[in-house]
Amino acid sequence: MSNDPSSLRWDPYVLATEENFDNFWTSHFDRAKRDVLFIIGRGFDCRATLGSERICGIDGNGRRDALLVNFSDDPSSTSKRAEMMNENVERYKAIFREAEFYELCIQSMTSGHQTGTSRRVSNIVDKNKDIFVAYDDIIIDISAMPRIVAITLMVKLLNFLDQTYLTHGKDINLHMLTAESVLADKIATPTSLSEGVSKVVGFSGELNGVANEHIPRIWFPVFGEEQLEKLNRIREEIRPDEICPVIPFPSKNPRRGDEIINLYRQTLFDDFQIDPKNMIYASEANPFEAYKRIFWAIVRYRDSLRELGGCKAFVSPLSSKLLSVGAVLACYEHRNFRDDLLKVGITYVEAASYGEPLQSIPSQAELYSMWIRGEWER
Amino acid sequence: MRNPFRIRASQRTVNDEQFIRLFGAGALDVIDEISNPFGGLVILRSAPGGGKTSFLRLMTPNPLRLATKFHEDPYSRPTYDALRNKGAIKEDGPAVLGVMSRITPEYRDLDDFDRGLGMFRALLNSRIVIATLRAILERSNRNYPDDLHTVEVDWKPEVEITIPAKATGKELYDWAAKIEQVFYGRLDDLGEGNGFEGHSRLDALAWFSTSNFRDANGKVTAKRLLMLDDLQLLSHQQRNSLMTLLTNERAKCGIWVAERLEALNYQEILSEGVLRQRDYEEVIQLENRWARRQKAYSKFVSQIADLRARQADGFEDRDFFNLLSESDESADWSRVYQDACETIRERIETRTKNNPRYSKWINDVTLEAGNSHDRALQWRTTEILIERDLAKDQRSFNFSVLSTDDYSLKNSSEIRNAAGHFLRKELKAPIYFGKAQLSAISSWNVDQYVDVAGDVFEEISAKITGLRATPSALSTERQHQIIKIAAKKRWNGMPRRLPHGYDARRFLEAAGKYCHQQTFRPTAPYAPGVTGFAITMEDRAKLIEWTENGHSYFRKLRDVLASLVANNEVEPRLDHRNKGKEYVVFYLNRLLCVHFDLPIGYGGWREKSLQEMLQWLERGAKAVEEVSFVK
Repeated sequence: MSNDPSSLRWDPYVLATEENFDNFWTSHFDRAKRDVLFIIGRGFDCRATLGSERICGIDGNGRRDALLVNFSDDPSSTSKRAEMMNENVERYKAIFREAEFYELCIQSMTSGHQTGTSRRVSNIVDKNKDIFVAYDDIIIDISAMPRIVAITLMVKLLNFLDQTYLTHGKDINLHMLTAESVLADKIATPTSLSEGVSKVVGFSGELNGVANEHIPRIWFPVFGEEQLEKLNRIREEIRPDEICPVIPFPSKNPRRGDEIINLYRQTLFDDFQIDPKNMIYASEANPFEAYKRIFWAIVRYRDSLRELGGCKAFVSPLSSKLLSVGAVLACYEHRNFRDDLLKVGITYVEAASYGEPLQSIPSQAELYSMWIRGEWER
Repeated sequence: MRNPFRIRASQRTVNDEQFIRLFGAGALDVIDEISNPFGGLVILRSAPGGGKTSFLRLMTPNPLRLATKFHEDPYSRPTYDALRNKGAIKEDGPAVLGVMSRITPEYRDLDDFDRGLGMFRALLNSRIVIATLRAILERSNRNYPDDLHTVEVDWKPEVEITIPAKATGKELYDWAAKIEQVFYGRLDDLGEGNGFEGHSRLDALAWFSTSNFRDANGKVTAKRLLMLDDLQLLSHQQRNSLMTLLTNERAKCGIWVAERLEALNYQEILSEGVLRQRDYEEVIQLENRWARRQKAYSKFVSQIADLRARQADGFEDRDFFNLLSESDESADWSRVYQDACETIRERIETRTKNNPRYSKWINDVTLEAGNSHDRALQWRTTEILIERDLAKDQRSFNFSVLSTDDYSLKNSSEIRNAAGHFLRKELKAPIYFGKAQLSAISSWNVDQYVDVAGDVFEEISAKITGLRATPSALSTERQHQIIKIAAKKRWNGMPRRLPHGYDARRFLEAAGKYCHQQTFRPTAPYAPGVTGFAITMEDRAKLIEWTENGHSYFRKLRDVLASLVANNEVEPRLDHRNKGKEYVVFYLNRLLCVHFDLPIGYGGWREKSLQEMLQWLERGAKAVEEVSFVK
């Protein structure tokens, strides 16, 4: 990792989209015997098992084990949702029937001002490091995971595997996997939100720092549909001096970017009073593009505000999981530069409850696989 | 500003000038009973939205200075007068150096790795120091952090030095900033293992109260007031440690601590001492204190509504409350009440089968003069009295004709109130409207008041700001609808707001249904209505004792009750009854009463056993037996 932002860690990058998904994994398994650990979530999302099913169906030598991240029972859980969750777990068990099947439980807080999910996930990763180092490849399938859990798992494992490589030389591959569907994301919108704004472990951005309270704050909300309440709540918490909305464009639906701007026009222009020049457009289907755009935007703000002591940059991944991965990678890379003029935060509002699930056949879901770290970097 | 009721005055996005212009001076009445508010420990507690943070913010230098500056403005004058009266400002400006330090959510994150509380103490030390430096600069009209060099501080630390004994503002700032930097380094540690042991003492209290402060104008001689806000964000260990220190230290300055009731554990929330409201003088439980001063509260919240309305675009100098209808005597309703007289009369005749025992009463009501509403009310009152007599009559077989004197004897204001409520409910006429009700349904909570008043204002504002708008008062029907929607919104948001939110709502669903059932009995036995449930003090003690001894099935009930009290969804009050038993009554939040169509007066409650309440918790409304009391 360099301190020179001219060479970005994820430029070039390795991204397997639906079209080349099978080819990528076939050639990956062909190259060597690989013990693979799938980290999967116990969720009701109909896309939950698509990724692991596809990859486990590809021939290759080595173990294919699973670690199921379980969430303590949500009191709001409807019978339909519980049924869908159980169906997903049964499918997982069928996929990994001859494998090691670990289960870890994260106590989720669903009401009041509890926002400690990220820290609990972090603690669980710390306590189970021995499991992770026993594999060649770790795949985090975030399709059925709450966003805050997925992001925390990614940054914690990425950091841990980087440290493992530096200290022990073992180069474990880390992949992020998601079954993307804008339609399914819309349907799975939560019915209520947690009261507080969460910060991902490692990315406080020194939001409530008193000594540097006067440092300008720049906010990069990554826009998706149905996020108005979250946007308002995060903005109230951050009190940004400047807002740079990240709009998904280009996108599969060519009008999606315009539709999102139209949907939030009052919030964007009347309430947030953003300058249209501040908008950042990032491809809906390429997280590494969002990563680069957000990364460089942060660099520009940091440099411009140098005389004022730099800036605090906050990223809120409120769009698809794919774009969220890109946004978080930009923050991770900045974090590793440890620049005194820049504090980076990831702020999010957790879901407190979901309504009755309406999702049915995941016909429009497309699989994306992102190779985040490992052999390709050498 | 379109709807100033949507602003939370305590929010940091509201600037100090706007804050002063929106501040309701009546809030300061709550410290009337504190003998020395600037010389000792004062603990402010309330449910969320009780007004604690606004209270603290008012005492910081800039708002105090602005209150002095605006003293000739008729709307800000009451705030100036109240502050002068309390000794917070003098003729030429602030008499208090008010320093406010907020507890932030990160403190609780420390719990994972700061077992000895060393880092907690270090962080709190550093933040109190920085908050003090800021306040000193603000007071002397200097800029933070540019003018830190104009500040000098010296003090005599006891043994070990945590905070420098003699330093300029800049040196102190650098010292504190370093601690915060280390703290965030540890907090943002992804596994790299940053280490810092922290401080062994929380010296900031002694430092604040004993230091010599000098700013650009010389020695700072103002009374010192340290304010710590949002203590509920601390972990139990951190809070206990801090509260013990604050209580024992007896610092020579004012210390105000604000926290939500949720900071207390179930024992404290349900403790006999708290329920008897006889704990030490310095604890101000805002809702309780307002409940004891109902007129003052009503005046205070009305003041807030007026101040806010005046800030709205196009509202100008209109009076908010003049735009709220206080009666529904329209021609439409007159006809409805007229028809109701006939309907009730027929109902009574069918029910009594023309029993001559009630002929005098019926004749008297028939001859009653007055408007259609008053006559309908008289009919409904008579119907309740007859139902009561019939209930007795079935046992006594009394056939003597009841006289006008009997009627007067049995009638009471409670029965008339119940009859009025029944009548309006049956006719779907507006129940909740007008200035007094708007205040009453807030259950002594400022945010709850501002929320509902904001919804009402939204509609009023839309009516008066159009080009061709002709200002007219908002009808009682529309007020009722808006308030019902607000109650529904609050009900729906309960699982998100409260710890144990889903259980709490299920429990209240049963409580509400039960109160509704008891209220609308034909004899109105608990007139004007039942709006609370009660347990004996013995059951309260058992609930605490049993759960401590491992009775898990009561633990959930205990936690839900504590959560409901902490969030002002139920108001606990002590009550006495016959046979020497004492009860703790849990009155429903008045907006819950609106949700369940109950009257909003206090007084009516029924005893429940712990077992029955467990059933409510487990089964919700289904646990309340379906009983039809209408014959």
